[in-house]
Amino acid sequence: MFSRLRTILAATTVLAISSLTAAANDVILSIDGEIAGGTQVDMTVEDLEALGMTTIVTKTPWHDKTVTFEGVSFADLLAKVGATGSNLAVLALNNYRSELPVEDIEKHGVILALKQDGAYMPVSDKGPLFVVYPFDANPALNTEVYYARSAWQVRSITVE
Amino acid sequence: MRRLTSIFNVIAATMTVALLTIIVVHADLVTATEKAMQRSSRYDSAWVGAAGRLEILYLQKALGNFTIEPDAGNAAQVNLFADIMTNRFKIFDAPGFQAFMDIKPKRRQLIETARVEFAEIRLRLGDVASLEPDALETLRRDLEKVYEAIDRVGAEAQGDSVNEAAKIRAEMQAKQKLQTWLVSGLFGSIALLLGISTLQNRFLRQAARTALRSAKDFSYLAYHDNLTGLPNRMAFTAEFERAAASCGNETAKRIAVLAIDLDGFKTVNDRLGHATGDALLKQVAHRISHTCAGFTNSILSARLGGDEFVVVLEAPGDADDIARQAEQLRQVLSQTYALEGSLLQVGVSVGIAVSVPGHDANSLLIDADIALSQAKASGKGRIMRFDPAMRDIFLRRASIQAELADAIENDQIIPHYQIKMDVLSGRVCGVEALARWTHPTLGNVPPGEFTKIAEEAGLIVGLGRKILERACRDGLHLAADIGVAVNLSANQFIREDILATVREILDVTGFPANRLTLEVTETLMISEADRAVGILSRFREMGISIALDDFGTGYSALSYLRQFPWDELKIDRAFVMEMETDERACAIVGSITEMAHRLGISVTAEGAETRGQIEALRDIGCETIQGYHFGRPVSFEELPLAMLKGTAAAAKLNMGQPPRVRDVTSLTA
Repeated sequence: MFSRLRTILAATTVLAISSLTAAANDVILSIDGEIAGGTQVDMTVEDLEALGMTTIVTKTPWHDKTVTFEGVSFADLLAKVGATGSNLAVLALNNYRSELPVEDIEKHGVILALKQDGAYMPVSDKGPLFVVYPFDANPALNTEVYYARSAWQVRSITVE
Repeated sequence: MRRLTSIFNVIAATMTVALLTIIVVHADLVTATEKAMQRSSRYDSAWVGAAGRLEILYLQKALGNFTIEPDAGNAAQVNLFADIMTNRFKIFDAPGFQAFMDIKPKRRQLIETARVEFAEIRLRLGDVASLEPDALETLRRDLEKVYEAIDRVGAEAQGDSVNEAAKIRAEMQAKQKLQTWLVSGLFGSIALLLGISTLQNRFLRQAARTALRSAKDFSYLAYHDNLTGLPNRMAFTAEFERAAASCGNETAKRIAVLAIDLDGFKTVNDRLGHATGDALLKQVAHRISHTCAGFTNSILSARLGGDEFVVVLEAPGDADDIARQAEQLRQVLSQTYALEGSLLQVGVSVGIAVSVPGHDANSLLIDADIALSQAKASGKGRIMRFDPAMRDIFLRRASIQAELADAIENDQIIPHYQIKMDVLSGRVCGVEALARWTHPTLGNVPPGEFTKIAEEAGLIVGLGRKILERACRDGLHLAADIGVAVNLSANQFIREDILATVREILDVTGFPANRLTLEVTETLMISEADRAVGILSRFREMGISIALDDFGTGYSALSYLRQFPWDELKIDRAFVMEMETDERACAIVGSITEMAHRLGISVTAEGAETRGQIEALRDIGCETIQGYHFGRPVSFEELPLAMLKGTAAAAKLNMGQPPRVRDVTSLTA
């Protein structure tokens, strides 16, 4: 656990110096746990964008107006790493930890957003990665449960 | 039950209203609960506040680490958490947190101040590596102020959230409680309604049963005679029409109607009372249905009313078979009845009518009735088969019956007079008034025929009064030495007012009582002799003469002669007519006359038609002779001529001449 935190901290050191936004070749996401091969997969912005981008246009409790989010669909991401678990433990840079059932991904089409209104997200504005649910498309999602699963400043995911 | 039902209705209506209210309230509650639940699961400001407190702590920790170990890594950490704090301030601005901020103006003020302070130190936090230890210390203190604000707001957010949650919980508990009550009420109401409807159903079923039962009773009552239980006229009519309609043209489908009537049932009712009469009818009905049950061809037996019973039989065979069955019925019904301890025997008359193929069978009941009345008229206890000739007799009788009252009222029935000759003087000494009806179409209706019908129809009293009054009026126009005799029927005598009636007529007409003779028969003396004697005595006191008519027929008990001081005895024509041929008749007339004379009663002979009869009567000593020889009954207009002719006839017989010696002897004896 501590070693992982160190890795994150090391990664963010570079990130912090390079003017707040992640460089294309920086690792911004690490996936481990029950995935193909069993070893941790580190991904850069480039790696993620290579999976194809999905857009969700919605309001959130954290925005004044409707926002267009662009990012990787979790389904594609999990397929990419060959995830077999049913739950995703998401850890953020601010040490926020949340649980994301794989079921949600299939049911609601959740994405891991990279861009908000066309721009990459800095850490000072929920970056670099933000778990986004289509709140407007499905009003039932407007509850504390899904708000809590909507982690920002995502750094790593453990498939369980 | 009707009242109970209406109470049920009120309860049911109330329950329904209550139920609807509960449903509405419950729906409202559910909505409210949903809202409360939504509220509880909505954006959690506590978490936003708590996360802020953590993040500022991480930032302080990172700054502390850098102070102790000022390397690039720690500097990057400070910068990272500074960015995270920047993000946090943006989250504080987000709509989800605004509701919390708006509760207290001081919160917003705290956050805004902290935001400004943080913005001021943000650059320094991004460049800690270049700061001197004093500047770091200043930064630490400045961050501490930001921390205090964030910590304070974060704590309040948590507290508010807890309070809100408690409030929601309390609200929801209260609502749940109410819901529980409502649901209990709901189920209670439903149970009550079910109970009521079950009860009501039971009552309804009961009511339906009662209704069905009474409907059955009613239809039974409508079609059954409630005394005997036999089908009544209504049922008979319905069944008979069916049977009559199916007769058709085939001999094999003939039907027979038997009209059955008890002889003297009226007497049973009058003498033994209606209860006995009813008991008799019940037994008769029982015997009829029992006997008919033994017939293989029985269709229906019914009581049409009173003592009128009717039996309908299939009559495919010989008409004599039906007659035999009728005889069987007659015999069964004629057997002795045991009624309340006493034994009773009644005669039964039966009229039979058998349908004729190709003819309408609907008149069969009438035909059977005609045959029955014919059976009764020709002596009782008989069975008579309908004959078309009977219908004429019946129709004549029916038309007499229908017109009799009017005929009496309109003076169509008036007295004719037959003269009575005084043997000694050879002169007319009186006339007997005899009712005569000349019917416009039927011609002369015999008195025996219409008086009988008048008696049955209860018209005899009125008729008698009319005749008496008319005779008295006519009598006034006759010579003062001519008396008028009028017949008084037993039915007239039954009336209490007979004395008053006679007195009134004498008063009204002014006819002298001593010229009036009332002729009565011995029937009067049979039933109520004492009363009859009393009334007759009163008549005599008034000066009216009383004659005993038709003497020699019936019982002719000599005791009648002793019971009352008769003025006149009228010997029946039956004896007179035989006098020439039968010496014994002659002897009887002689004996009666002699006996009457000994009792001081004068004798009149009726029906003298021949010279020989008259001479014999004169020899015997009869005072008065009446008969065709002297004249038939004639109208009042013809009377003067009849009197002349009568006197002439008397003269031819040397009446009025001094009597022969033998006659004188017998007179003085």
